[in-house]
Amino acid sequence: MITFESPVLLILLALVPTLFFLNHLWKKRGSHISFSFTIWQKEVLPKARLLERFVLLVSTSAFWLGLIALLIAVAGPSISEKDRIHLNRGVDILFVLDESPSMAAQDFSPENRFEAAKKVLRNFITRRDNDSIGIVTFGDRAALRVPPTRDYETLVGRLEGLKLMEMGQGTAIGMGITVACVHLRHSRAQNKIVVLITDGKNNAGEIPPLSAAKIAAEMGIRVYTIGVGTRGEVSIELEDPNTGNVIRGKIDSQYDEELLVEIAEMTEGKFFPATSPGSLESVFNDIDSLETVQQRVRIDIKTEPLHREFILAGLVLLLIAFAIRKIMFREVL
Amino acid sequence: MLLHPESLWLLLLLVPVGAVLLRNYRIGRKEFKRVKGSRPEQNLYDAFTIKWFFYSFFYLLALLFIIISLAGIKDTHETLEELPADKDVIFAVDISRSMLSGDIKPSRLQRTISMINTVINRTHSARFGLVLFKGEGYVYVPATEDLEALNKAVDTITPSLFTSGSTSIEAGLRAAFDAFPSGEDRRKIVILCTDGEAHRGNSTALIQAASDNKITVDVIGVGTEAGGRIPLDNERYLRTEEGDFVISRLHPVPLRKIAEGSGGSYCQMDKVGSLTEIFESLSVREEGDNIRFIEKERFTPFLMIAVIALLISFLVRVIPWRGTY
Repeated sequence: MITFESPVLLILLALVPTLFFLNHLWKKRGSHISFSFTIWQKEVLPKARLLERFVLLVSTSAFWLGLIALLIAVAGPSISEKDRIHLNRGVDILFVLDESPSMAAQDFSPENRFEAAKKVLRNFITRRDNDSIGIVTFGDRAALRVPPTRDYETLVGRLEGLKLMEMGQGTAIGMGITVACVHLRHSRAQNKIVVLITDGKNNAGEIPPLSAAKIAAEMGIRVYTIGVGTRGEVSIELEDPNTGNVIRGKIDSQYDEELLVEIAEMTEGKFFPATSPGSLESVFNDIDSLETVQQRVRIDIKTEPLHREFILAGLVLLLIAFAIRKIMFREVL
Repeated sequence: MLLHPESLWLLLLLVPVGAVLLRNYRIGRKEFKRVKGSRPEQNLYDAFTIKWFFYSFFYLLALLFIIISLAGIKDTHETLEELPADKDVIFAVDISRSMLSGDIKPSRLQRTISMINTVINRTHSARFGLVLFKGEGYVYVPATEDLEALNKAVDTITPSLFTSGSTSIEAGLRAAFDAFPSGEDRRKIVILCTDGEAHRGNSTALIQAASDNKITVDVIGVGTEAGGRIPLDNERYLRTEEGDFVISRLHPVPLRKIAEGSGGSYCQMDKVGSLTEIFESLSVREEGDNIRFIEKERFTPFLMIAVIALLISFLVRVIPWRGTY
């Protein structure tokens, strides 16, 4: 949006029609010959040729536009943008994402479970605007992939780069939750939550899931658990990131609902089953609406001055008019 | 004093414009003779001369003041702005090969890492991010409160983290500027750690970008001006084609310019045991100033004079004088 530092000075633009009248329409003034006779080619008052008239028109327009640009510049034009400034802290959210091979199960068409989860996560990130969000992934072991941050661009970039089986083939739910807790330790947010997304039974890691849940509960971290996948046999297809070999097969994977419910209850979180991309999306919508903090927002107006551009344009236009009239046509006054 | 001193070169335009006006005056007088014969009325001549003089004078005056207003004269009344207490600090760390040089022990990069740890440990109520750069900038750790992640990441910084030719401080700083999350009332500080070798890019544009986004850039020049050799693998050093050792030296001048231009401080890490000293001079320290001056530009009065002069020159030309010309 264009704003002016002193809009009252725009009143000067009212001078333009008066001046235009004086110069071009004032009959009483009588007319005068502004140009040196040499360009009339010895005739006393010939009709100006089409090209000459056109060039003169360009010069006249350049003069008036240049004057208008300068008059606008006097008023101090600037472009302003509204900035939403959050005055309070949002929620710190760490997603703990299962990277075990069973997440390649293709019952979340058109993608597999893992890609579907990534897509839903990405949508979730774009809906939140004041929360620090991070990602932990786990297989046999667990690791932080993105620390809780509000730099969503980097966050989404890293999310896109996640691949299955980078953390081995197991399912170390306890490790995943513990790593998340460690990385929320320094957070000064009032609300800290962990969202666990898994499709399997805990079968790896030194820390049992319930001990991890206890740590989370003690730290005041709520854990939402999401069990992904349909029951029964499903086909999987994935590429081993270490060897590049494509693995195909059928698995009968099932998440441990009892465990997920218990973790959620211990930490005052909630368990959600998700059997399709649609239901996964609605689970995230639920979490989105559960975890809202009353937002206090201030609107800041950021302005970027434009007067230099207007002054420069004015100067160039005036010089064009000058060059045409005074140099080309040798106007004497 | 001036924000855009380069605009003053435009003043040279006044010379040809003045010359053209003078030439046209001569032509004008000659033409009068041709129209009115050898004895033109004196008052016609006078009217022409007077009008020409005032027209030219005010036209040149208008151009002069237009150019002055383009030069961006700084307002003498500086505006004070209070800075928010919470900070976002982004480290922009040069990881080009010259940072392995051992002119400060154990190496430029190792000393930089110790410096970063010092800053992280001594600064409170801050979020930190880490941008690494060579020819391009890359967000290694996005702005976070997670000290765990940060400490781990800092210890893994090496030139081999990514490959990219050349060194561009501009690319590093731009990536750092983009790494600040928006929409929060936090003070934004970049701590640039580099040996300033192979400085490409435009520091004026960088300083402008920093001030537009209210970012302070502190610069730590790492290394010595005497310089050091650049180690390769197996105890060998980088050599030129002629077989001489390549010596990498600290180039403080452009670095100092960036720091001072953005309201930050410049310090040099060239001797042992100066980490505390350096920390004391950085903008992140707790007892640092929490106000800053905003430079404003004054152009309205100058532009007003220009417009008035332009209008006078216009009216002198257009309004007939005593019914003669």
